[in-house]
Amino acid sequence: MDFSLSIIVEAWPTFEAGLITTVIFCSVAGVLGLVLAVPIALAQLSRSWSWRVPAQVLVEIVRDTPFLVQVFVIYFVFPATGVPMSSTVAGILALTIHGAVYFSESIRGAILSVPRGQVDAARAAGMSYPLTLRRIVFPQMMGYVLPPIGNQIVGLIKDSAVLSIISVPELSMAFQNVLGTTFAAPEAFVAVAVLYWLLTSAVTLAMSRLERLTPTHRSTEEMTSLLAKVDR
Amino acid sequence: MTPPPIIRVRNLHKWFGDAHVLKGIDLEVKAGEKVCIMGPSGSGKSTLLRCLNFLEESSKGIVLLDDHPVGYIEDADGKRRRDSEANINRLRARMGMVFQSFNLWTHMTAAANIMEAPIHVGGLSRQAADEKARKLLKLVGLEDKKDAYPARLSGGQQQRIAIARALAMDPEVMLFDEPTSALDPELVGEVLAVMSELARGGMTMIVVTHDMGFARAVADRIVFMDHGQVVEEAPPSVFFEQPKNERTIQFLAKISSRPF
Amino acid sequence: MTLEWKYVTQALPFLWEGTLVTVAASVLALVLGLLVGIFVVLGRRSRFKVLRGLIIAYMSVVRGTPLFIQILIVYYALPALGLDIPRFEAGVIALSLNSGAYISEMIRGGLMAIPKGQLDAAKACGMRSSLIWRRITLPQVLVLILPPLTMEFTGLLKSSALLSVIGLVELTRRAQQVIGETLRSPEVWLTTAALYFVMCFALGAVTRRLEKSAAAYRL
Repeated sequence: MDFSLSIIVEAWPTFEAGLITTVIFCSVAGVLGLVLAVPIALAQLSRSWSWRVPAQVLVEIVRDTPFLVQVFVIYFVFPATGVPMSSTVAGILALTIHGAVYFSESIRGAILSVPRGQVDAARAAGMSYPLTLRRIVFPQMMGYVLPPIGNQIVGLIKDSAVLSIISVPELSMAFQNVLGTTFAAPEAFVAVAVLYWLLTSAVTLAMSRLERLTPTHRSTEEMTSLLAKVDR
Repeated sequence: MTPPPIIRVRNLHKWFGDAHVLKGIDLEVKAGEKVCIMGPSGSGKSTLLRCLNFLEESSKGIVLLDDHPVGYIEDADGKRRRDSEANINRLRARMGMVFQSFNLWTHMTAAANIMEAPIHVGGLSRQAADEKARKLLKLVGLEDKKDAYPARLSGGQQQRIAIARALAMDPEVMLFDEPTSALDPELVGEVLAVMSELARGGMTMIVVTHDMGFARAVADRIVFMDHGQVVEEAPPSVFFEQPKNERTIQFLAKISSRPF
Repeated sequence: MTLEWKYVTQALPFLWEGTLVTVAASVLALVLGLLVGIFVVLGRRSRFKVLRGLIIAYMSVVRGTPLFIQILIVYYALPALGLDIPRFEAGVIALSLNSGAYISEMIRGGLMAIPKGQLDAAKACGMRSSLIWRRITLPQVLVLILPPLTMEFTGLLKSSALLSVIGLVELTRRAQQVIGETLRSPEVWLTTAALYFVMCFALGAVTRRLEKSAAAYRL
């Protein structure tokens, strides 16, 4: 099999534009998802069922349907209700909701893994619940929350490849365009795989760097076993 | 006439990487004898016990059970070669072992734990093994826990089941590796009671323990180890009342000042 | 918007056919993925450096690239190398290669979760290593990995939706076909989502059950 770099070089502008779109989509959805994840997690932990139930329903719906179908529902069902929908908005919305739900699971797990006794001690000292969260729980849970969040950001990047199906011009769309112009050159497959791999590896690396800065640093293995205990 | 030794250890060495944890151990245990091995943590007593049934492979020297070398066979010229897996397993089955952390098989009931080796190693029929399990459960006072999974048992109960399991192959020697160290203080008594009962029955026992009361009451001989060597050997009366070695004296002072 | 449910009842038999294909592909992928996972676990302990290196590369690629791309690679790139594979088989191969990487981690975790002391106790009883494997290790590993494995099956049901992209007529593709005929997209998509939801939600309940019963005899 001949492998010619020139195919990749020629297609590079297409790949580059796709890569940038992927990064933008994932960044926007990642940030929005994280912001939404905190209230979802808190609602799930709430003692009042009027908070807990809707949050639980949202989480279950998102967890128990394929991301691709979620994209289709958002892209095709919303317009039918009169809400205008573009592929960009549908893409970001789907990624955001998807991300928010998975992030919220990690955040919930991390909140639960801060020893209950410390919360009791804070409340006994007269601290309000929000103050306890802010001063005692959140600072400690960073160590617990970063590793799974890192994995989920990687997941978000991988899931975003699906958005090409509703014509979001991201990396896998670019790849499919290149496939069309090069008659399915093997080089294109290698190039797209390497680009995604570099992107996800960069995120993994960055997250593990960040992790080391947190006060309650734990190894990934330790984390996985801890989270396995609190999950569900 | 004194009975011949059932276990003989000659010049046993063990290195873990650079750490020399057993530095030439010589030890003899006669049939029916109860020997307690004591010593500070890190003195090599657990390693020695685990070398006896080849759970730990010694680096030099030899262990004999009833004149059969365990694990390594020494040729005439002193070279060691590994025995066959089948022989090792046969010899292991003649020694029962009880661990600090019980090590019950958590996917099996109490009775199944006891019956496992008799059926699959000893070739006993299910019926005969069941009969045996009943008898052993009665011996350790847990007939009512026959069908309980380990997760439902207290530490003391788990350890008594573990003793029954170790007895199930009709061993000639019982090895105990700190059998009460992982137990809550109020559960220690029930396990020691079973062990004392076993001792009264004439079982040969080698017990690594910190429990001075048990050692004093049951042991025929105390072997004191420090830094991988046997420092002192004496009957309990002598060992506890007139220790000779400086390290023994220091050790006894330390453990007798402990709250329990 | 008013939803017209007659479209749903009309579409359901067709969607059901697609559901069967989705389930078949997922079951096959799980079984093959399990085999791949076992091979990976064994291969990681191999004496051959090359094999270990290949496995590390495989794990890294599978976990670092989108499944969507992996499916396209298996479907389009392999024929370019002279291997002509039909849709269904290509899809199942892609899914099981992907799944195998994750399943291997479950198996590894299960093996590590068995306390070493239990194996010591078995050796001390004179049990030979094949017997220890069969009577002590394997039954416990099976119970330990059963819950994550059902979860993985849920994952496969969901990710098999991506096989619609290579033209496999499973549930999602069926939905698209039905929409092509009736042009009532909202009802059909909601019904499709509901079908996936019912399957995955039920499996989630099974997973929790299995976790509970596994916990019953773990210390």
